[in-house]
Amino acid sequence: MTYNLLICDDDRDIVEALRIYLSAEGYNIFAAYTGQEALDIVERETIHLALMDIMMPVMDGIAATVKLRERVNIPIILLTAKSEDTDKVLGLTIGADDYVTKPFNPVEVVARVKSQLRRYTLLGSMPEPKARAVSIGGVTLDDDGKTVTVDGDPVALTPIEYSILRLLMKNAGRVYSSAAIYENVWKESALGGDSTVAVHIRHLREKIEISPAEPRYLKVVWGQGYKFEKGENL
Amino acid sequence: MRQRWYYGFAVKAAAFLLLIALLVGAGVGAAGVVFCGEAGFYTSNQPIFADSRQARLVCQEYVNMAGGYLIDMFDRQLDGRGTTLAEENDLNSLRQRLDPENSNLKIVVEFPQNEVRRDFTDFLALQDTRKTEDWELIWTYYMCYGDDWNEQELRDLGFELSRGPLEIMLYCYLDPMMPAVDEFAHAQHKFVEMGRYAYPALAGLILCTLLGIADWVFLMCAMGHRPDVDKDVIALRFIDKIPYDLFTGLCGIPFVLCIVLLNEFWISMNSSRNAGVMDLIIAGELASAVGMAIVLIVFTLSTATRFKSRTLLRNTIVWRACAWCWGVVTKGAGKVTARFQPREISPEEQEQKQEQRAETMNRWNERAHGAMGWLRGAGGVIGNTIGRLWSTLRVFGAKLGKLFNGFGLTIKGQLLLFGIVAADLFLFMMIYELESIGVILLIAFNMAVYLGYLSCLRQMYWLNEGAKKIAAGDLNYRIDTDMMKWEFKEHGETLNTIRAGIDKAVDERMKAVEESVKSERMKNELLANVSHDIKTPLTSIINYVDLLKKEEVQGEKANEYIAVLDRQSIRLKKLLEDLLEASKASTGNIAVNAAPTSVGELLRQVTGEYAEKLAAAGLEPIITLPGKEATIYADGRLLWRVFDNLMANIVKYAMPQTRVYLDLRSDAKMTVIAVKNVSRERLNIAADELMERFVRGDASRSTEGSGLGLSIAQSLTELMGGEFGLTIDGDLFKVTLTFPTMQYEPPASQTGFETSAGEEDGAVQNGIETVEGEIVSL
Repeated sequence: MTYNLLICDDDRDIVEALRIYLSAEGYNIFAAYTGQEALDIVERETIHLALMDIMMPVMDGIAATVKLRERVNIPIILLTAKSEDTDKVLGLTIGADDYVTKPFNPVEVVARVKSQLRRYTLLGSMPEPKARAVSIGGVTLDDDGKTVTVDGDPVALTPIEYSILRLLMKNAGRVYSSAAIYENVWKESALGGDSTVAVHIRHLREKIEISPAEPRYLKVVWGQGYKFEKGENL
Repeated sequence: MRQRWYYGFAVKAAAFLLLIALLVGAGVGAAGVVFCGEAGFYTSNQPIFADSRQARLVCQEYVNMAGGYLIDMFDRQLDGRGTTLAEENDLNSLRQRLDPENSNLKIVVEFPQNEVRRDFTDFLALQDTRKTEDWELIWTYYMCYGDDWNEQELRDLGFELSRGPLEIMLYCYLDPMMPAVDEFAHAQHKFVEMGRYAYPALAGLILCTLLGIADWVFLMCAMGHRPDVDKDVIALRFIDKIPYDLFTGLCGIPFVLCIVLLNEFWISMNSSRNAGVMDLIIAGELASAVGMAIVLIVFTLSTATRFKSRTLLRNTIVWRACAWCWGVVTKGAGKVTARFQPREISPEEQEQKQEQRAETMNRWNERAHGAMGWLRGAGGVIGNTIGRLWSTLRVFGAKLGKLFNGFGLTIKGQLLLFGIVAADLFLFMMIYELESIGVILLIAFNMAVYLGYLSCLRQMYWLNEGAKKIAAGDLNYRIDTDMMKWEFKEHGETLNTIRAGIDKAVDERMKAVEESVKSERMKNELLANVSHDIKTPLTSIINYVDLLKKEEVQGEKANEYIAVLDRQSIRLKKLLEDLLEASKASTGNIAVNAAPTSVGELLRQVTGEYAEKLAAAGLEPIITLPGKEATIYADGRLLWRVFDNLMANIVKYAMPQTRVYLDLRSDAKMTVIAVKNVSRERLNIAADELMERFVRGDASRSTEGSGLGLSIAQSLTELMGGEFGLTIDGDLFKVTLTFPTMQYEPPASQTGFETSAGEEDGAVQNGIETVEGEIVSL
């Protein structure tokens, strides 16, 4: 099935570039240059995902997102030059699903689009999760098969990484210090200056996160520890 | 409250009267004891009357009479005249009293120069046949008559002549048997009688004294207290309210009078024989003794009362006078101080005052002019001359004044001082010429100098106080310069105008601050907008460069160029991000969500994050932690950004194959994190310069990076209340972050603890719930 994507930005070059990347991935692209145009297209066509710029003339991305959410529940990824935390929070609160700041890495955008689409299309038809599986956001950890999938794609983890992820996912939302993780996973008491856990977490992030520096699931609480974000906060 | 009956008035009055009686009794007893002691009743069992003073006292009168008679007789003999009527009476009286029949006394007269011894009765033409062998000699009297003898007359009397006065000895003999009833018998009777009272008198004296002391002590204690009033309240009677010194005088006069009387009566008592008079004398003596006792008692009791009520010294005329004087002095001093008090004055008041003064000056000037005109008119030539002289003097004075005022303050002050000293010396020398007038002039001049000095002091004080007020921020304070003179006035006025100057300066400063704030805000807004505007085209550049890379581009050079574009566009992106962050951090435009942060955990996380990059750069991180890991109050995310910048620097600039040290030292007050590494390049740049924006360790600026890393790290550290220190020691590059240590017990999971076997359960126990809605890293 070919998914229809809506790209909305007032900068035609950016729209064009995104069209090139996403077309290469086999998506059908609709382009809009104002919020209003985006709304019109969504009205006419069946759109599966929207990439929306915030700073636009006529109707900005925030307003357009709010309007879109009134009609459809497609994933919306915001693109913006604003990198302030407050802007991100605002965008996510009004109904956007993800956020990409300009200047963005095209590869990252493609990854995020794929991730959102998988979740949008697979989650509804996903079979009942197995009794011993934990699923948060797009990440599923299956204790029986000792497998982890992100947006349906299996991820290869080392046993240590798997144990860490399992601990954090089963207690999602709780912050674990590296010492606590060490004691839980290695069953030994931690050494003071040892950053083994941090290194493993870093690797884990690189494997399950689209942008390891700005993790979506496995978050660093600086000076306190690590946590796996709760499902309702995603 | 307990009634004290013994403080009752009746009791005290009775005690008072008793005390008087006892005192009198003691006095009488004392007199008796003195008498008896003199008579020897306490030293021998049977004192002899003839040896007693009483006997001698009686005898003395006889001796006086006899001696007087002898002298009168010699006088008569020398003058060759007969006896007068009065002398006749005396002779009769003597004859009567020394009649051998009626008297127990026999007087023998001896003239030692002629060795003549005769009975005195011979001179009285009386016959005395009594022998005096067993008699007591009670009196030997020596007397002389004249110093220039008339030989003839004395020879007639049967005396041998010799040079010098005629010596006469009188020997008084008393018949111990006392056959005649005369004064001696009488006195002896009394003497014996008195002897019987010797010991009772002594006992009475002791008893009265002891009782008197007890009574007096009681009265002293009871004085001022009333039976129905609290013991602490001292009631003063009228007598206690009289000023003490006056009271002392009032008591002293009758006391002294009584003593005098007592003495007089005592003397009279010793010299008088008349029984009726004697009774009167004794009564007087007693009365004066009683009076003295009363005065003494009243005085001591009142003194006690005053002492108790603490009015002994206060209630005196002297004290009151002193207090009054003190009051006057302090009041005067207050007035003087008041004159020294700095005065504030409003501008309107000052204007009004100045107008008034100008008016007064004008009036006086007019008067002076009028007087001058009148003088000129009336005095003709003389008047004119005086007038001209006056004008000249005035002009000259004005010129001199102007010249003086033209000098600087130091010159003026020195001239003044010199003038004063010179004038003083001059006046001092003039004392010889002018004498008392000179002294008066000298004193007057120095008084004037003193007053001037005082005036200066006063003005300096005013200025000082005013300046203090102004310095304290009361810019509306105005010093009253109306009462000031010379430089002081000028200075006062300058101080008054300080406000205008300050207002001006403050206004300018405010404007500048406002402008700088405005410009800073504008700069930040501009930066935010510009960076946003740059980001959009940059996005296209990055994307299309990326696309270009994927195209089949012909030529090796083209591919090389694309690589440059790619690298530089990424660098531009990084630069833009850093610039924005640096701007926000330096202006404090970042929200700080501070929370207890474990530094040890942070260092582990940081090294974990950078593990691969460090390994790639050939660096080995070494974390040194104390036994108890410190907790600080900071925003973990901002702290990560600080370390992110530091570590990025290290990765870029550290010498490969070296170690990177992350040390944590902590005490109860401060926590210090030190990051140390060895620089690859020589660091010929100062530490503080390195922290400036856009300054980089390598002058060529060829490496990637914005040169903002340290600046951002510093700004963020300071934003969180920490201190950022940078030291360069040769190639050793050391950054220290100092934060106040937090007195905080971290949850067990942070320091590591023995977990239970059950993974989930233990994990749940170890975990900390994140704060809901906290923006940790969305």
